[in-house]
Amino acid sequence: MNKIKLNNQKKIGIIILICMILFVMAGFLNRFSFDGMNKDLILKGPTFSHPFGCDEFGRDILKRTQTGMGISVIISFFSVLIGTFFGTLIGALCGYFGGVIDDFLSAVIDVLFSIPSLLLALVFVSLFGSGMVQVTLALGIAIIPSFSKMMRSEFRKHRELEYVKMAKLMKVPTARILFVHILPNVTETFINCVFIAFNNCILAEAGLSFLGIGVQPPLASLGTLLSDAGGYIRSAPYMVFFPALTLIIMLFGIGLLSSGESFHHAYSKRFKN
Amino acid sequence: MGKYIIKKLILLIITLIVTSFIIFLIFELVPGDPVLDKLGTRATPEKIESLRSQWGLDRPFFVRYFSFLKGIFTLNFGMSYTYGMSVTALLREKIVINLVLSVMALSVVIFVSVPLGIYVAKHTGGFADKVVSFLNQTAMSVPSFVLGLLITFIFGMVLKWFRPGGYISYKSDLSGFLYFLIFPAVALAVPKIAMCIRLLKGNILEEALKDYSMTAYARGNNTTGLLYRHVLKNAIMPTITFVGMVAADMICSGIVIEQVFSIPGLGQMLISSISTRDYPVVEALVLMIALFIMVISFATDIIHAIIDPRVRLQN
Repeated sequence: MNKIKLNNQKKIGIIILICMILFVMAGFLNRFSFDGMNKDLILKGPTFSHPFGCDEFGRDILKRTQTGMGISVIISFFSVLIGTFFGTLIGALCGYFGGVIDDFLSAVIDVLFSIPSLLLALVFVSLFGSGMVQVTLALGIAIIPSFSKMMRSEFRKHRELEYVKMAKLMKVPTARILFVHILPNVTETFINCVFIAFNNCILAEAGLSFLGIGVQPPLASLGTLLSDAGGYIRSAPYMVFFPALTLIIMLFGIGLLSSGESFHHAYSKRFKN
Repeated sequence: MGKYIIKKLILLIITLIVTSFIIFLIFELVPGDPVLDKLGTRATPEKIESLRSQWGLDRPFFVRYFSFLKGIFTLNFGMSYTYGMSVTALLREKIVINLVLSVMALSVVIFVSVPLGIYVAKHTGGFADKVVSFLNQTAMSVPSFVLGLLITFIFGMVLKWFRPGGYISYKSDLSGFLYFLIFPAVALAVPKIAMCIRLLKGNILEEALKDYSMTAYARGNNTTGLLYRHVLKNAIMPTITFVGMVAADMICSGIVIEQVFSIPGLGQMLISSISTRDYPVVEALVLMIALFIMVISFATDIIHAIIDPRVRLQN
């Protein structure tokens, strides 16, 4: 098993990610409540007690950003979990066995892959209603095609290698070959995929919430905050600025961790053969 | 070549029919009844019956599906439930807006990223490369709707280059319409430009190390000749695929961007008709987007075949 090398880029990424987690954790120490309104503080700019300012209902934006970030991350985490599980499973089956199953599943996945994930999520949410669980499922399903495509090409490559053939000769059970022998060897691609998927999830979730069909009030994710703030951009630009900055820093950190490869780049490189 | 195009065209039509069936089936299976929703508390069995027959919902599933399928070719998707007018008339203007927006954003992507990508690949490790790499990483982590908000703030509020929320219809003022759309188009394009540059650069560097380029170099080509005559033709292929994907994505990211710039486009229509269960509109819209994506991928295939003889000979 190759050890994953940490270059400076990834180190910075990890530091940013840890900072963001601490930022969300610090939300628990914040004494303001998440949806406590205060009519004296309506649209009040940043002060010492409210470093990010207050919104149109006098709610503390710092606390709302922290909670919103937490919600975004939780949704993305579970979506990635769902997407990774099924994506790896499908990719492994397709890549390792080939044949009719592979042809059929690949055709389906090719069609799904060409549909932008935001549209998939949008249709899903329109069918099953909006809310945290639905959004998580929708995003999880939207990840599966791209993930399984990547894993398929990796498993295909490893199927032909000596160690897999040896394992087959030694009558190692197929499931064991797939997940104990091959999977650790594709860790690097796997982790890359996970971070890219995580990145896309946070983006898509923010997009959905921004459209008002993601997380429903009183809960709010970063997208909701930004969409609320959009209406006050004239009078209170700080309402946009701080949540946007938080989102950007978060995505920057994750982007650094996924070794800077965009998904399509990674895909085009590995799917050529 | 002609044979290849016909083959792809037949494939396109088959995909279209399958997709339209899936879309129709999905909205058939959705829980909830638009008739009951529309009538609300005023529902009596007679009213339900009459509205059902007025909307044609009393016909069997396959009859309705075939009229929907016929509608794709005659551009007649029936009447909207909420607006009481034909879906085609409702969507015509919105489709123009989104097409113009996508084309503008796409041309920004192509005209900025291809020259810049080539330049950066040629001068790898130089100062420009470092600057562009950093900008790329930053641009990729800014979601396009956040960028839209920032553009609204900087160019709309501070510099006053355009009036935020002041969308102008193309029917009243074409140049004003085009000018207004520049800003959302840039917001859409910037993250994609970053990805495109990175992809192109990576591919050029990868191709430049292969045997054929070494041979070409040994035969006495200089770097520029090598790049344009040999490497670029191979390296541009994944970029073309990617641009195709970007084009498909433009329509969807456009949905969010519309909201930021308050443009009355497809996205607002889609979301409002989803919430009012206006299924004829939703079906037509989703089908339109799917068709757009299919046409894009068809075009990508054709361009591939034109540039690369291997593709058309293989098929």
